Amino acid sequence: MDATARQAFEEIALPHLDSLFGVALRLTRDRAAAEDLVQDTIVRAYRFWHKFERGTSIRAWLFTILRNTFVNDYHRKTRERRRTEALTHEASSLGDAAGMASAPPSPEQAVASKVTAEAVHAALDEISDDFRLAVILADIEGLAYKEIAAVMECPIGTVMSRLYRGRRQLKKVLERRIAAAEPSAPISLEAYRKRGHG
Amino acid sequence: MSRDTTTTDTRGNDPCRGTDPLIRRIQPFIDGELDAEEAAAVAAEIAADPVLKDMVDEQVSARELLRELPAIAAPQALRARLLLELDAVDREDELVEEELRQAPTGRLVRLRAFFRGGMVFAPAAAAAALLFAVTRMSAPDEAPPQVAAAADSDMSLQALKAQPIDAAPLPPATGVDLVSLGDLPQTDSGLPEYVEYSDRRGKRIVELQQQRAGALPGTPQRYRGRIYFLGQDRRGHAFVAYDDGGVAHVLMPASPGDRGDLRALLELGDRLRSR
Repeated sequence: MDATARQAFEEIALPHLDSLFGVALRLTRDRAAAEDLVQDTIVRAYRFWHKFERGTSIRAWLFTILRNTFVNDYHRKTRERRRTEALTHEASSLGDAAGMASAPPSPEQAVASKVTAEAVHAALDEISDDFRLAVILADIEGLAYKEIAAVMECPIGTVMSRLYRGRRQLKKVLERRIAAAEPSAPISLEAYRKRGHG
Repeated sequence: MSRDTTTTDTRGNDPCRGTDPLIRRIQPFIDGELDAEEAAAVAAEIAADPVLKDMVDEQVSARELLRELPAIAAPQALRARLLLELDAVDREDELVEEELRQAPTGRLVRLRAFFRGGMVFAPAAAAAALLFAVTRMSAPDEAPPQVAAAADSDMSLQALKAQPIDAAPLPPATGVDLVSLGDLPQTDSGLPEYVEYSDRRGKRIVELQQQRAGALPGTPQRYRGRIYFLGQDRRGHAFVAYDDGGVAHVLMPASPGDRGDLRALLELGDRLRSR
């Protein structure tokens, strides 16, 4: 690639590195995998730089490459890793059942975890890939419907549905997590008596 | 008027066809995809309907949570690595362009002819097979016989002569054993031009060496930082070619029954080039 094209690529594409990395991290949930995904995305973008149409959205173009790279190369690996993690989790749950249960969260911990960034990230992780990518692109990256539709290769109506359902799922997961973290309310004396203990 | 959300696409289709009408109504409002007039109409509709308002509130609050997430910065090391990767792509492109620019010269056109077309590897493989068979027939304790292998006369391998190694030689590279050496006819390089190797898995691979003449066959690929040209002959046998100091090296399976393993060929190439 000639020096002018290289300079143009560095000036136009590379400023979006943080956005690419943020989305990659939220998709892969793994820092090393996110770095690899971004590297592959940038190298592919550079190789196909002559195909980028000036005047169109560079962000949509880069995110399209990132999404395709993720779907083709990383998705399977990530799924396999998650399966392993699920097995590990299952194994540790068996340990819990055998009397090695960890201490329940303190009320402070439960409150602190209510709507922290960590909780939102964890909730995002529970959303299916298509919904997650739609909300990330719209709400974190600020892409317009048209751009999201281009990245996800779907009609705008589907973008709307994915956003609606993605946000809905996010809220439900957060509520469930908060409810699980809440210490159960002490039973009132009156209720206790009604159960026939008094 | 809404921005590209309720209009038709380039084919005249409604891009929101099949979308729940309620979602189609409130979602562009939440995401600011409506113009002022339309947004005001939807806002009035929402204000008059508590159920609709709850739905919108839920969406807006989820969106706010996501918007408040701290920004993630790419590591500086990643930026540096990417720039190096771009440099590598540039160098690779330059190298490939240079390979493609080089024109065939003098008597070395023969090598290009050697590479041209699917006929190339059939005699080579036949010669390799013959060499392999003869080499295998000689008992290990016997004095190494001179072996003559003949291939089709229209190819460079007409009077291929191979000589099995008679004493345990130093391995040509880590993890690689030398099986035999040979000369291609009508050349006077004084160097072996036909080398047969065995890797640690016992895979036999032949290397042909000739002065470079024109572009190497196959598709350029980078493997462990070096350029190789990967391809298949007409019968589907894999080969890997590379240039090393103006000498073309072609690696291919020694046995015609072996369709070739690109990874094994590349691995051997890497070992040979790392000597």
